[in-house]
Amino acid sequence: MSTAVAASSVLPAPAALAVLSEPVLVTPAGPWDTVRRELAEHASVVLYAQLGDWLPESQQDEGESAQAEADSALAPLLGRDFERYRGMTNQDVRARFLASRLLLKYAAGAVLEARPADIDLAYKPGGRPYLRGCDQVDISLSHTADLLVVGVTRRGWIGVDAELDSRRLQGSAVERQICTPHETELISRIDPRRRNSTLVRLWTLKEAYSKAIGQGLRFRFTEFGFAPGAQRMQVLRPDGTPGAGDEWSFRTWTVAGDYTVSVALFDFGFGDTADIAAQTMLDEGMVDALLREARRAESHRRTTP
Amino acid sequence: MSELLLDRVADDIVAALESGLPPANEHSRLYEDLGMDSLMLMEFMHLLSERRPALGDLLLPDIVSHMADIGTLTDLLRAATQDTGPQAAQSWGTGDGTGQERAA
Repeated sequence: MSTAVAASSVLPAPAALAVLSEPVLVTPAGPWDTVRRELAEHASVVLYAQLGDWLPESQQDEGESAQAEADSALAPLLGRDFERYRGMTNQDVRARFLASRLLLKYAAGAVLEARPADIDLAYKPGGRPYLRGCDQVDISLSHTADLLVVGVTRRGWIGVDAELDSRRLQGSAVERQICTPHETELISRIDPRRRNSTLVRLWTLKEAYSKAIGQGLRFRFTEFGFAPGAQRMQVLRPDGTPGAGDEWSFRTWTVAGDYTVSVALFDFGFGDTADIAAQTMLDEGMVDALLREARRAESHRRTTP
Repeated sequence: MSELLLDRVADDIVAALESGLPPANEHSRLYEDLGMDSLMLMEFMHLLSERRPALGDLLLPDIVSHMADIGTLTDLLRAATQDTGPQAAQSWGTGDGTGQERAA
């Protein structure tokens, strides 16, 4: 009698291809109910926003003293990002950094049913953002020009990327640095008028995938690829043979008229955890330790003259 | 606009490599101060390789973790060409892991 156990009986089965709705346009006023509903129904949601909607009015004021005052008000909301934000000298980068962090904190606060200021946004060694203390929810962030994009999933890993449709890649040095031989061959057969948009789509797919696996720009984009024009997008090896299974899903949309947005989703296949409210998700041992520390600090405060 | 910026920064680094002096803007950070995004960084690597062939083919994944500012990048390029010549890029390992923010 064979003692071998089929892998499929011990490993979670890959879920059916992830279903993703169209990205949801959000402002600080919402619609957060829609975001929560999308996440409950589809386990993942992609949000997008206009930069101007997420910049506090005080940040648009002129003058150093006004800005310094406005900055100090942001410290509690930005948390560990505040020092980095304050040190940025490029005003465009600074604005996008601030707006994208506010969007991310509001989005995470909405889905975790917590206040944005209580969201602990942290970074892994490669720079990948995550919600500290809420491992069941994965997030990703992208921003370019006036667009901000956030991806949220409760099923695995997510990566998002956005780029202007008009960004010129065809014929640039970048084209050679991002395409596999198979992709180069496929793109050469495409109508020249559609090549640049195909390259922009490829770029965002690769960025999204690389972010989802936590590599970002440290991953060589010529070592994996996609088939432009394929009905179902999947990761391919440089020679065009399949490189990943059904646990990965990809989607690309045109957003706000001028932007290409792609998402990469990895489904762990462990099923849903519909209740992701922060109160439910916090590890009980960690909560106990935090409460013990708070009681100790309070006791120390009372006994110290 | 971005091409002018890339030209200016590449000129600064190449001049520093040729003179042995620090670059004029050595403390400028590529993202936080100069606003270079992922695609600009890729173009920038190509520009540096063109301007200074002795650097060989510079690939962003090999270098992105070492690009805190212009001075750091110049030091890395200088050390790599002095140590191992044009193939230096292949031996550049991982650095401080700051790659993904620029991918945002």
